[in-house]
Amino acid sequence: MIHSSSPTPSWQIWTRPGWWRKLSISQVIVEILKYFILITLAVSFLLPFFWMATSALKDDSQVYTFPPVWIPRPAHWNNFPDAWNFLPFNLYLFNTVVKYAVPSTIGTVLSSALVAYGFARIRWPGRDILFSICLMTMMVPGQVTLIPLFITFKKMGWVNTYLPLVVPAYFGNAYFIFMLRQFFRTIPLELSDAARIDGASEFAILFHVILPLVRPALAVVALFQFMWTWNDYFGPLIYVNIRPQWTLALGLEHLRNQATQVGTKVLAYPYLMAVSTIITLPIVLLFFFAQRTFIEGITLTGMKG
Amino acid sequence: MTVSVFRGFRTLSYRERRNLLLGVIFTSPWLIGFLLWTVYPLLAAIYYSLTRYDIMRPPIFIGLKNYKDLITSDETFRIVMHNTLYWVALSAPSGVISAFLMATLLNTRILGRSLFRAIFFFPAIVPVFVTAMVWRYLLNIQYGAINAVLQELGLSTIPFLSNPQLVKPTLLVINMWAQGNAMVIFLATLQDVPRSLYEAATVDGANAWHKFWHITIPMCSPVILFNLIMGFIGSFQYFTLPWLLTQGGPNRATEFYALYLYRNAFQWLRMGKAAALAWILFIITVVFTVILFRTSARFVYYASEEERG
Amino acid sequence: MLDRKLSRRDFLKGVSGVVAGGMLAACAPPATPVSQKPAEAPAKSEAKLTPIKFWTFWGGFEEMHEDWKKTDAYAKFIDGNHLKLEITSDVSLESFLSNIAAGTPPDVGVIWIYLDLMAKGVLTPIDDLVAASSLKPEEFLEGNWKFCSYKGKQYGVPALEAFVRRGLNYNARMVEEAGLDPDNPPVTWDEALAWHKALTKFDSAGNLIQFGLDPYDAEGGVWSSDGFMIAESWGFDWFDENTGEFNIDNDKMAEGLETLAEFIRIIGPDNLDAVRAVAGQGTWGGAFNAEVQAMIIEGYWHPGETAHEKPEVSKVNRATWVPVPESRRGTKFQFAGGHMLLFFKDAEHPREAFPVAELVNTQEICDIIFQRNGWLPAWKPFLETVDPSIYPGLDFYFKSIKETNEWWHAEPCELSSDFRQTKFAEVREAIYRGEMTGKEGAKKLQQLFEEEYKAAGYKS
Repeated sequence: MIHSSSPTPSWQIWTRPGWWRKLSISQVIVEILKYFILITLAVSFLLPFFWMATSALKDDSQVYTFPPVWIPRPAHWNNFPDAWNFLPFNLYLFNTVVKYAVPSTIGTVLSSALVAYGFARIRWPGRDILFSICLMTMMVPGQVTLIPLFITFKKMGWVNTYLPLVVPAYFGNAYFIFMLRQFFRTIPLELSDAARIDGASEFAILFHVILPLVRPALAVVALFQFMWTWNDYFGPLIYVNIRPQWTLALGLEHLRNQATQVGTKVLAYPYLMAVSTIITLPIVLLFFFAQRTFIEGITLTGMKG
Repeated sequence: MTVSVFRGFRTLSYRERRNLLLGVIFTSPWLIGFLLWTVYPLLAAIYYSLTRYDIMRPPIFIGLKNYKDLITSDETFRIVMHNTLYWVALSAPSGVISAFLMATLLNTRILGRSLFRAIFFFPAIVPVFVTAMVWRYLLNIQYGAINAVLQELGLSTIPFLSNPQLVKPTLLVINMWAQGNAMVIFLATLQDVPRSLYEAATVDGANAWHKFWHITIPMCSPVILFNLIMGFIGSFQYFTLPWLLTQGGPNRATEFYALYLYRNAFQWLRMGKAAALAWILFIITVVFTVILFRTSARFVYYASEEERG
Repeated sequence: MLDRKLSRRDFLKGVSGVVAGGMLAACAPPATPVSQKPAEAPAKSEAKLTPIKFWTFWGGFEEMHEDWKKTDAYAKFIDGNHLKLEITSDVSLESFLSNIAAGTPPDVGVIWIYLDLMAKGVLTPIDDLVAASSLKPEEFLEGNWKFCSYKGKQYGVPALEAFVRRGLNYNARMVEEAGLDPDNPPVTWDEALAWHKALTKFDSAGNLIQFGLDPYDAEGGVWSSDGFMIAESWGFDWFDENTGEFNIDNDKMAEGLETLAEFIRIIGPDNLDAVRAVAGQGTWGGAFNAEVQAMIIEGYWHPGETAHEKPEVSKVNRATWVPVPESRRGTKFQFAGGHMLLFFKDAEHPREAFPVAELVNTQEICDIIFQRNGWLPAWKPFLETVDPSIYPGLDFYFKSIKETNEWWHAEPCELSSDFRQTKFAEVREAIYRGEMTGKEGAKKLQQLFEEEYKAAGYKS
């Protein structure tokens, strides 16, 4: 680290021994304010999860009580295994991960990075027009292209398989192409120029120079794509709506239909919340443990700006 | 640069030809996907917009009537436009500001930073319909947890979701709260800001505010632009939460563009009109985005700015 | 979507059904060697079976199908015709319409946009099939049977959930508490309004605690194949199928809109929206179950569903005629409508699928549906066997089909029922929020419907 001799920024001051003696009044106020804001926000962010998780522990009478019960007594821990086994959620988990989330995430990361590089770091005639078209594809509401798209996939014989959901992921996603392009453009051109002078091909530059520098962005792409496919309800609903092919989201939606309709019977609501909690947790944990690799994994310290 | 498209391949220099080839190779996945799965649905949607199409029977060509009706005689369309422009103008910037401030806060040295980040990301992970159920539970005038407390205290309750004047501000706050995705993108961006810049500024005696304003924001500006544009596109197509929470009500105060489009397409079987709505929305979004891109040159800083050399 | 309003199902029974199924499966392995040979024989003939795709917009029919298979009726109509029933329930409208557009509809389906489907020519007429079958039209409630035809051709058969839909249900405990006589329920809207005022209470801070009747809740607020309560109560035909003319801009409609708006103004419009959306209580009838609403206009299913959801509320549930204006005192009206099976002409085997309609209108199958979901068909031979005393209030509905002096059925209007529903909701809200008078509202709806009817190509 080149900055070991530089003065410690105020926000780092507490890492030094006896830091509290060096704090000024205004710094103390700033610190208190900061934690106050953080904790207030954190509570507001956690509230839904707390409510979701505790609702999962309720029985019917505890759900319908007014004023609302936040912590049910007794807590019905059995709701978790019971809800999970109420529908074949193990099968849905397998479908979601193996048939949908993992293959589409791999495809999206690879193809979007490749395309974004073509749009961000090679100057070629027609590039900007094509990039504009790429952006514009996001601006047409999916509701009107649904039917022609469905007919296309039907003609290809892909309906009731995961192909309409997975294969297009290997052909780039406009949102991620745009995002990666913006990240690529924050990297100084001199880096790739230097590599070119050394005789590196564009592919080599992409894989050995650029991608290592935007690893956080790639991780974001992977995380988002995984998360979206994990929660995607509409795609599977239209293309793979046969029960043995259901995803977690479809199973969850099935529970939700039961829970929000008149004629709702005992446990629909707690079951819904139990399954919601179970399928939310892996993403939270994934984010918690993986954030180091993509948020703190790399800094451009020492590189000229 | 775009002019060169029309110059013809032969007149290009070797270097230009090589770059064109490389550019096409790198972007070919998107190009192929575009031709396979996007062009036909888009053309079909253009055609639908010129027809009366109820999905069950073949479309009947009626020219520009759908567009004309929408613009001249559809009073719901006017209400929907009003709601949508209000929403777009306020939700996209407030969402980006909220996400950026959260990311900046979480990028400072704080105890339990990883934990806080996971918590702040939370609303983006929970399935939207669960979020909707939670908010409904919290905000309901009769049974909501917040109003239950007010009622216990002998105060009058607040009709967050059931008053036409209050419902949009309520949705704005919910929107600022659910910015986990944009926040994560900003967090990743903040890592790319070279430390050396801050150190140099510290040596020059800059305070935290100066550093934030003159280093952090310019260095993040390409990604701010990205989030802003995605925020605009997303807010033009805002659908799921208002659909689940308010169904366009009360008194049509949350009848946003995408809700009206959905009703036309799948509830009222007016796919032709829905397609016309889609294209009007498309044109508005494109104009918005072009203006943003044009004006962005003034405030977006690209480290790889090619034009400078 | 969120309130797929006609969906109701017996979740509890569903749970026990699955549990029982699981137990059966657990017991199965030791029996396998014995049952192997008989199992092979049907497998061979399976190749000759005609696969029938049967879609429902409700959920839960895959599970119920397992029960159907055990009946003799199933053996007679499905096995006897060498059919193989493939049921998909919980079909969304988007998915259904995509398949229609792609030319791959189901053979038979229950998709609630009935008239749209009939008018747009995607169905196959079944007059000859009905004539050759065991079904007798006179054995069905007349209104239901009529609603299954369009322009002189029969397209559907009433099925699954199709009994009468008009009744004012009230909570006798709350009524008594308010000093009213539960044995003397309101007959006119004026009397209903008096009850409503007596039953509506606020706390000292002005917050609503309970209320009498939200007339637009549940069946009172629909304008679909479930009918249109204002037109029935005030007594006018809102559509003429012969001329394609709407009759909405009239004094009765205006009076109806004003009268019902008064109920909501007393509650406060902001309060009402929230009451409808009570979390965890469902979107329809939740306030009644929570004993916040004392009266509700509902169909025959209300007594049974309440018994399952809130037994203690069900015990004090009673039902009577839906009120009428003073000028029509003495009118006891009832509405027959509901759901039906339709056969899709572009499907592979729509005509071969017809035995499904016979199957679902048999004693055994109707009984399974009633046991599991609490639903009743329009098929009278089964209705005669039902004991209405099991759910408080249900006997009113059974009595009503004999005592009614004014039958209503769904108007055969091709105008999209979702369009009607949304515009009606918008206009009535504008009225009770004081932005429009009843007269203006009636005029507005007339104009909107006429325009849309023309725009959809039904009238030039």
